[in-house]
Amino acid sequence: MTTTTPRLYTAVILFLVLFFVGTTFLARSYRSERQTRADYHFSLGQKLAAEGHQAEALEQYRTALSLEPGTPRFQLAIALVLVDLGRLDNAESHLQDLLQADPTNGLLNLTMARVSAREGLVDDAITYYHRAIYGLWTTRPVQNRIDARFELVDYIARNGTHQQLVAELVQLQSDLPDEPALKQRVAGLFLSASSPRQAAALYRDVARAQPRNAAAYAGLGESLFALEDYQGAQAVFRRAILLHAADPDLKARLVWVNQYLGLDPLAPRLATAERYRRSQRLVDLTLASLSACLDRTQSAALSDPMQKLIDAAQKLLSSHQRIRNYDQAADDSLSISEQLWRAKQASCPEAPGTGTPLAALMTRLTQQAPATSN
Amino acid sequence: MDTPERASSSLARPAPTAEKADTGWGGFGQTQRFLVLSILIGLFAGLMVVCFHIIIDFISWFTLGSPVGASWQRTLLAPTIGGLIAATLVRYVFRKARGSGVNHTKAALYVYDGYVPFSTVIGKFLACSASLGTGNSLGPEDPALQMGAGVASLLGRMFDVDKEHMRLIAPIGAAAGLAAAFNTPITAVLFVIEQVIAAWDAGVLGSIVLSAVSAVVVVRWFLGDHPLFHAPAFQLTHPSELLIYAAIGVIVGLLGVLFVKLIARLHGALEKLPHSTALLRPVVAGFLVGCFGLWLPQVMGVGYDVIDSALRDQFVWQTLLLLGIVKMVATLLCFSAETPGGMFAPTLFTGAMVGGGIGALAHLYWPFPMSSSAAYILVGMGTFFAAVFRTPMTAIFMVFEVSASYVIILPVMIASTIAYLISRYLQPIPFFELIARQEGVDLPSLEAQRERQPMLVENAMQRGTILTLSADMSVDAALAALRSAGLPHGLVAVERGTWSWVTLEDLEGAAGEARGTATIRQAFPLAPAPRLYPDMALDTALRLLGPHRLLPVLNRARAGQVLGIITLEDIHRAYGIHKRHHDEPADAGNAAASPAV
Repeated sequence: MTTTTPRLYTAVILFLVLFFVGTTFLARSYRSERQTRADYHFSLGQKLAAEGHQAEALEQYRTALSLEPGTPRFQLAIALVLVDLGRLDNAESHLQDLLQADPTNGLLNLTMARVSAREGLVDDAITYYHRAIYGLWTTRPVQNRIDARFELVDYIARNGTHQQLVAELVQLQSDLPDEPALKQRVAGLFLSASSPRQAAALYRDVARAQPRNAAAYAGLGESLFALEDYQGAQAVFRRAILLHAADPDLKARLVWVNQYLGLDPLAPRLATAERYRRSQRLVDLTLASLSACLDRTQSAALSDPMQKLIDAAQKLLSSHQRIRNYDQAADDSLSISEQLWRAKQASCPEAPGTGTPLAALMTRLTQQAPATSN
Repeated sequence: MDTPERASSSLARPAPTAEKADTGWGGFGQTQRFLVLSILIGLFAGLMVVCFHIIIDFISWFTLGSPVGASWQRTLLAPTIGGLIAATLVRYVFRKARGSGVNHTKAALYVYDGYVPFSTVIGKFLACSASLGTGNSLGPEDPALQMGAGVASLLGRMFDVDKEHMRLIAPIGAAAGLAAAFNTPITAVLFVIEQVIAAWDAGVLGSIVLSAVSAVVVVRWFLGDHPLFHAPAFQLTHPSELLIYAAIGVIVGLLGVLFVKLIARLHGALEKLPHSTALLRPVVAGFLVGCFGLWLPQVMGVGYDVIDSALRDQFVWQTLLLLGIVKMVATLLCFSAETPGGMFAPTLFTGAMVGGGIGALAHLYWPFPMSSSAAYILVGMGTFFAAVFRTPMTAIFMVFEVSASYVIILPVMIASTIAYLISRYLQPIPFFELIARQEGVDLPSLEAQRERQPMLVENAMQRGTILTLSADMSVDAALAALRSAGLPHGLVAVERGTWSWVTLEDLEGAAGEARGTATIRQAFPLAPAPRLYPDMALDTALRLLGPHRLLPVLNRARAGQVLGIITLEDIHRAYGIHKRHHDEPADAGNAAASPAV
């Protein structure tokens, strides 16, 4: 390279600058045209997707993405359409790309959780749901996080363990804003997750905030019922029926509770005569229940102890002697009714908690009292 | 043809003497100024390729319209008219813009001392914009490579670059053009070294790297820092997968051979047609591509977006294989019809689709876990590239660069090597050499150079017991030793690790002048002789021998151990010159030219 004049260098640099400026203008109009075309295809895709033409929408989204590679909203739209079309592998590939660039994005993690859920990857789905819950949301972050948590709870209720479900509900409860509707929803989930204590607490909050919310009272009644607080449940069901008299389920529940409480010989503040009367009633009912059971099973010959027990019960019922000590008489009757119930359960077992008020009561009484042989 | 040989031998040492002669321009030396010029070349080439890219897209949008639901009239007419315009431009306006950019650049390097007419840059720009923008099945990389070379050549001429550097300037521009088109600087550098310069020991590597990097910086500045392909993350899941990659190597290798053979046949056959059909051929090819486009619009144009879609599992295996084969046919038609455009993009497309198709098919039946289809697409891409262009290193690094995945290296190495070996075995002449020959040019290739085994010092040296004299020995004693050994010269150990030599005649002369009792060191000025090793090239030995009568050949593992000596006669004997000289005693001219002492 021989010595070149400074004028040449200047001319070349000047030309380079001009070339650069010219290319800048060209590139600007190119980018603008690309953007316009990409946006056109994207909005066309959105329109098609809204009309339910997912496959056609996908083509438009893809064209948009080819014009503006790496645009997250295009990729997300493609992923969502692919999810709708059931092409989960493809959707996952787009989502993974997006997540690589933006791993804390709440919406992306939520979509990925849905994809994993549909693919049957329970652990992955739960992980992505958690990332969505604790991720970043550009709009309505609180509401989106709660929605994601609800979705996760629903998912766990269907696919997870009871322990996972309760853990999520407890977390959800602690994150809840002071909104009765949300509390009521969570309370319902607690109830279905067999956690009536938490459900009752939440329903109570709701009922306190909304005294005319029949559903909240009904839920509270169910929670108390599940906790076997029948007296509390009775009061709450009555209140619920007052607010929503047309609900037959509530009425049926109240009848049940009334029957139970009307039979209970160990109810507090009960007069001794009334306690005796209820014990006698229990003997009557349990004897009838055992007789019905024996008829059903068509037992030809009764065992000797069984026969003696039935005889004793019948004798007790037919006795017209004056009672001197109601407490003692009530205890005797109660003891016989418990034996009758045990005998009946031995022949015709009944699942606890699912049956009649008598069954519920006798189950409770037999669990409380030690077994006695006659 | 001796010109290439001349150029080849000078590649490693560009203009060693010019640097001292010219120190103008702020005290910068020749090398520094050449490096600065390389950056300028990169910047200009980058800008040129950015404009090229933009114009192709603009033409595509305004001729083909939207890729989704383009009308059949446009699909048929656009490539037909594009082919016609492009062919008219290169046939009648820019005649020198015809043919392969790689071969043009090689010719500039080996034949035309770096001269690439700037009209080829304009011609390639316009013609290829017209053909590629209208959907003809070719790629922009080869034209970009040639445009870069043309820009470099123009700048070299403007800056009055000396002849040695000027010759090397075209590959520097080519690397910049290719790097800008591919957005992959490493691939561009490797390709230029493997295919254009055809020598790994090129002394211009620094300049090539600088220009390639500058060009890529410009492209990313204007078009964004997006990779060519958006390959999803993947990993090798089971070692048995390597068998599938090997199968891809075999199948794609065979397909590559078939592709090159078909091109050679069809290109050769079309060349023989009357000259009046020259314009008609690209028109027919364009129309046929349009017909394919009605059925499979993905095969039209460059097709990188289609590869990107395939990487996202958009196609089932049948579609992938079909696209690969149809694209191959479309490219075969366009290239053989001499529609302006390059072969890189279609090669990547075909390889990607076939590799992806095989991978997707294996997914259905392979009993072990497998990587996603993206891995097979990338491997297929590199493998077909290696099979067609015979540049395995470029292929491997290209896949690595476009995927940014280290995991892909092993599969692509296996498949590319197999495909390369198959291609070498079944297709003796590499693609670019084949095309060059059809264009009437004979250019060197790295493969041909590799096959030419170089002569080494060990092929010519005298082995066995070597008589070594000490510099402190008397002249008489040395003379006696040489006479008793019957040798005309001897090696002299001057100091530890330093050797010289002395001839019988010198010793006899000194003894005749009554200096027989003096030591050799006192009697003669002992110039240290360069050291040789058995693995050195014989050419190097010849250059080092220069004024010396003999040179010691030493052991690299044990410093100071003399394995033998070498003389000019030994080198002549090794090259067969000595024998020919004696076989032709009557030839006075030869005798006069003989270097025998």
